[in-house]
Amino acid sequence: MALSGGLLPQTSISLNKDAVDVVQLSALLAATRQNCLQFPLLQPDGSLAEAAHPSKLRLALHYSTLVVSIHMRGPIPGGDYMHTTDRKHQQQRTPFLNFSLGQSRPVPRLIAFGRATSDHALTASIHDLAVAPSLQRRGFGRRILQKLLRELGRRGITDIAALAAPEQRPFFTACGFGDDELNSTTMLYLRSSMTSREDSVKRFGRKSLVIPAALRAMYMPSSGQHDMERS
Amino acid sequence: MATALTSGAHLPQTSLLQSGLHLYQSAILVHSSNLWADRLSQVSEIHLTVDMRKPGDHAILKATFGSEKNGLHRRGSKLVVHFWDTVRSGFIKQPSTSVTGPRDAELSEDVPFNDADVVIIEKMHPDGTREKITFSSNVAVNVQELEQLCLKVGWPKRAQSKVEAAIKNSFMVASLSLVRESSQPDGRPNEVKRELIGMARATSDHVFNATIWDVLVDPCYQGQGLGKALVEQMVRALLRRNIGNITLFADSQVVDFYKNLGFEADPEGIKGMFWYPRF
Repeated sequence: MALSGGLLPQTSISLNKDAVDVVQLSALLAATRQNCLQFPLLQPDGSLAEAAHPSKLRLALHYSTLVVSIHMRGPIPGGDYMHTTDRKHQQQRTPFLNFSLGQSRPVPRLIAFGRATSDHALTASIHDLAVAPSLQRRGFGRRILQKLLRELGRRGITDIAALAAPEQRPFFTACGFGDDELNSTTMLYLRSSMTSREDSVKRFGRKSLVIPAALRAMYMPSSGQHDMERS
Repeated sequence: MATALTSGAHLPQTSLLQSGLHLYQSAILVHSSNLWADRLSQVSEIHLTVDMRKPGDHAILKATFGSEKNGLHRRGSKLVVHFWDTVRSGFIKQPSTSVTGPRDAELSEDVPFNDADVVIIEKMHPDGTREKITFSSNVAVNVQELEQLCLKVGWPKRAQSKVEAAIKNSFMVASLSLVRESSQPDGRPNEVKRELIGMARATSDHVFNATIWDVLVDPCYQGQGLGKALVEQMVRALLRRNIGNITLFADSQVVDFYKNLGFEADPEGIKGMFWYPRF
């Protein structure tokens, strides 16, 4: 982990996937009202009904092309996004970190995160950008995104997409993103069930998605007139 | 679909039974290999029923491909499955990075696509040639053939090495092939020719998000519902693995095509933004 100039002295930015504690990540995402679902279920007070499961996050990180994280060594100014009890549990759960840092040193706090998936050659997508609520608007998000973009550029990937909600558009615009030059339309699969047949529907947060039926073979009558072009 | 099958497909009885048995035999092979790799959540069973109406008249073959064996996924919020040993990493199509052993017992399953090829359309010609259009999610796509197809559809040329790497690192590559089998009259083995006529691929983090890229069908075979089948099966495969964020970026002329498949444009104002390097 290298110290980067321009950040607060106790922070460091890293591309190392193993540096990210998935329990902290789940909490950081929850604090920014994300759980990796496009349409998360929210409680009446606006908070998440269910946070992203840490083991799922671990897999997602493993299969992401790039993972960028910023950690802070001291207490987070403005208040932590995790409750004190959860943090204490954390310290117990990560004995290997304590071994290397000494029992008296606190666990480095994840304060900003972002990841990218790609096919390693042509296209990439940015996901799950998050900055601790008390440290927003200080440039951490921009640092994460710029690191991702630089690394992707290094690998020759220049077609980089990000899904942005209306309130996130100014952030992406400021970082050099824009509408598609080729004028493509962003589309998401959202077919929801109109019947009550349960076995062909799966719930994802606020949405219930219909699973298309399996392919069935079609046999066409053979006759001289039928060609392969038109059936 | 069932009505199309039973609406009087008059085919010579013996050849139909033979082809049916052939399919059944290959189905058995697929099924037994899937029993060995017992954690597959994908398609693994092929049911075949032969419905004999009047002996000597005609036989109607009803074949259902792609029914699921769905014991692994539980409906509801939490997914409890078993850890897929990295020893069997030969099945996992991703580039190898060091896998930090998971400490939790709950992990999402990483299942390879082991479906058998699904025959979508099959036609017998009077001269004995049999043509099939098959859908496959695990056959290797020939990059040269793909390039030919891209040119046919009118797409700009892309660096072959990049296309090859992109396909290798895509989570799922589905292809449509035209398989021509012509019977040789003098007892020689049948000539089988396979041609790529459609493809679609998806990138994913295997857990939450997937983006579908490069959906194309040969213009000669468009208008038959093949593109629809391609995308639907891809969506189906993704949803069955609990990957719920399925995105794509559609050109203006195909927006309606995807709308009919259940995709919505800019839902709740969410739009894709693209990075343009400023030099």
